[in-house]
Amino acid sequence: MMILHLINQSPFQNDNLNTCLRFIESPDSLLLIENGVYGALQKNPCCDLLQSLSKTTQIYALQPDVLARGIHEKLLPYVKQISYTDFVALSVSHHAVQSWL
Amino acid sequence: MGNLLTMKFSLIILDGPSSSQSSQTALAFAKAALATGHELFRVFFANDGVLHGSTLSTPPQDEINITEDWQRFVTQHEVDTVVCVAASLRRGLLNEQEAERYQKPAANLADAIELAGLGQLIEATLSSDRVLTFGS
Repeated sequence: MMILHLINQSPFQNDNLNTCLRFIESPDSLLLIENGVYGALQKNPCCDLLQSLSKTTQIYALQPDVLARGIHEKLLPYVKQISYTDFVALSVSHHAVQSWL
Repeated sequence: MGNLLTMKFSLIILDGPSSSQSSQTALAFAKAALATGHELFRVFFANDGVLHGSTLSTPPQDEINITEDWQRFVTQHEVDTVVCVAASLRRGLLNEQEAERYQKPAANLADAIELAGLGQLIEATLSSDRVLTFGS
């Protein structure tokens, strides 16, 4: 079961990303949206967990949300920025979408 | 269920129009889904999200009116759109029938949107290929 995990809150704000990273496993993917894109910053509370996860799991960030926050030049190198159309395509290619609220 | 090219999506929106970015994200997702040939089976507004059904929301004119944007979108694309009835009545969102039943002076639910129970939510999860939740 391939799951697309959605994180929409900042790791500076609460533990959602941290909790998600403990459950996520290959071949799942992680998509950061809204304030969740702060989890793609080079310096953030979850960057060690993200670093080890990135070896087996694709990590995405919604580009409009990245740009709206002006952080596009400070992202972890392995985070792939995607459009809303890509977001839809990922929802299709995974079996389920899990929002961590 | 369904082939990979065309899928049925249902969206659940939990946050109010002025409390987070979530309903904007959901609307952009919905537009992208239709634009790429997918179907929207149902949009279900729950909790504060039901406020997207109000015809009386009046933000400053130089600001985005996400409530109106949603109502225009679901009308234009004839998307089955519902608000949780219990959450709606609690927040003063009523259609004509409920306004009459509870002897209230006005009804404010948009024409394109229906009051619904959790049965419609369950049906949406059973009938859709993918269900996405937006909010907090």
